[in-house]
Amino acid sequence: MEKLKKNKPLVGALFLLVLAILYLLGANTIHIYKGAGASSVGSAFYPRVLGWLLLGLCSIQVFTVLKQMKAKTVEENEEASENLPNYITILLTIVSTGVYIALLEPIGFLIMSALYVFALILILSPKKKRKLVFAALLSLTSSIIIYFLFVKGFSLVLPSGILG
Amino acid sequence: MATLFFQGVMAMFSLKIFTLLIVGVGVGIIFGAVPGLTSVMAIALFLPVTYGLSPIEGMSILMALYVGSVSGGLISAILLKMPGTPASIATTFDGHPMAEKGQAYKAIGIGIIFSFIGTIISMLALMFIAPVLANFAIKFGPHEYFAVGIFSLTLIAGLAGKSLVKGLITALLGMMVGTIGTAPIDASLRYTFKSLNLRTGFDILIVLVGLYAINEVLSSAGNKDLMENKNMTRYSVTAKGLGFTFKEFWGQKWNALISGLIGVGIGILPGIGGATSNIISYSVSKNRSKYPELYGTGIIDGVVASETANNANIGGAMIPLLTLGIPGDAATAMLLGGLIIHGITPGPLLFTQSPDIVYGILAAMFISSIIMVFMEYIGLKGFIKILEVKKYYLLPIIIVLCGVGAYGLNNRTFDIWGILIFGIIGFTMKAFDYPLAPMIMGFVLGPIVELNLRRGMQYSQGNVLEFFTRPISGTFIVIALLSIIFSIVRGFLTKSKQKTTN
Repeated sequence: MEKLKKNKPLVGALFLLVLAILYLLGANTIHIYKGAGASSVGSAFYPRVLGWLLLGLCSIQVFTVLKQMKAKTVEENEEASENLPNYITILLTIVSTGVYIALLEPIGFLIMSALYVFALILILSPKKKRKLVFAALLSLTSSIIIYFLFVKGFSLVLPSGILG
Repeated sequence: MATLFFQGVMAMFSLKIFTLLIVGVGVGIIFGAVPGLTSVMAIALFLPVTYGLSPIEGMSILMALYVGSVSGGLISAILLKMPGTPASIATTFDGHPMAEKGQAYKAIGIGIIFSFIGTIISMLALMFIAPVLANFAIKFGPHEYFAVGIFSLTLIAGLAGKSLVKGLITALLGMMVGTIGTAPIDASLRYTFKSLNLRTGFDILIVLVGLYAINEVLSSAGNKDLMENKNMTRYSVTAKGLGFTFKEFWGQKWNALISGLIGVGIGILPGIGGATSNIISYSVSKNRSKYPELYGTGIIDGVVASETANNANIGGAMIPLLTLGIPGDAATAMLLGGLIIHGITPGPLLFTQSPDIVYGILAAMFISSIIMVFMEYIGLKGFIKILEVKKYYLLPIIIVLCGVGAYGLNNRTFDIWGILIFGIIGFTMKAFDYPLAPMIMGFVLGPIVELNLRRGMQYSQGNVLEFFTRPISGTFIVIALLSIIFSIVRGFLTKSKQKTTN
């Protein structure tokens, strides 16, 4: 973790550098129209410009980061580590949201939203302060209200799933 | 113009629109006041509501949300020393010391009234500048749009963050996301990876809700203190009347006017929103004051500067949006999405083709700001109560509502995946210290730049020089170059300054 934190700027810049190369390679697969009235600026021109610019800028960034890392070896590591965000909670939030989206269409909006809101309240709330009954009631009523408000009130279509 | 505006105001007094305005301002204030909830989020949540409304009704509630949320930030800035939105960062500088001195109600009163004045200044600016600009922009061809796009991009990348290179990189990333889908002119497929869903590319609303709303939820999820509402102290807000005297109010007239103009000016520049204008106007106010040493100790001047400027930003940011279709900040980019949903393309023609929309927006701004004053005074205690609601009850419901909005765009879960993915991208970028604003502007401006480049080339039969020889487009390209040179020089200057101080 400590090591990752120190190398973070470099990792970021290198990742973008790779992305720029992949993007440029992708530009080669773009089909270019060559019929009558074809212009010198085809559909692959603009992506190529963007790709090369990004490649150039990322190289500058990698270079600057390396120079900075040489200049100051062990510094700025004193940033209070207690202010680090809680990555496990964030990861759980992302995973549960992914599950929610994946099951939204097969199971339906009402059931999935109620389950999702309930699960996320549990993930986000501190252990000592969990009120299970309140969380369950809140998740159930909120998803029912949202569903009927948007479907009946604003004539939106939401997946009805197994209940439909 | 006056009659059109008057008609716009009259249209606001239908029961439906008036209700929408009240709901919009109220929800806006809440989203502004609660740290971790933002203007963009508020607008995102209400987009699906507008799908079923008429364009004027839809834009009215979105404007009400915008006005309310920019102002609402002052409540938590003053009471919690925590800006509810980035637009009220500078309000904490003097607002919170005032609360500590027992002048919480006075600080809030000043903030409310000058938020109102800021909104009105910017509404007048929008009313008088926009039609002139639209008249001018109506002569724009592809060459000019290309040049304006390039100029806007250089501005954003140079001013949005600490590092010019990082700003340019994120602007490019946004432009690259904009190339996904069907190309303009010849409709070649680009970066669709054989996916049918990707053919249309990402909707601007998907990118915005992901980068700004979902990203914000993820950041809040990782912040335990915010989740549990730590650091809350109660300040007494029991007082009557406006909270300040007329003499105090009148003494701020120049401060307010200058801050308002700064807000409007910064709003007009694309990509630099309320988050910047309140801080700049605070430091300008401090520099020209006769007693700069008192700033930060809790004087009303600081609150006036910040709160006038951030609300004045609204009308400023609307000017390039309505006249050129280029949003001034993230919140106006949401409004752009809202307009497009209703089949309205903002641009110079909007003023002649649908003046009802333009003046409807102006009228909505006007009425919303009045509603805002009443609501913030009368409902102050209620808004303070809402600050105490636990975030872990609010955030899950917010994600569900963002999901409803995304799904409602095209009735496909693909778009909900989109907001999650852009949320993760935004969160990662923030963790790696890359600014987000250039990305969204790159995403909006990139397609405009490419389309007009290719159109321009067709117009001038492959002659690149026309981009430079046409007077308006040439001028903008020169300014764009100057803006890059300026940013580079500025970067070197600050670096050498740091070296000498070290």
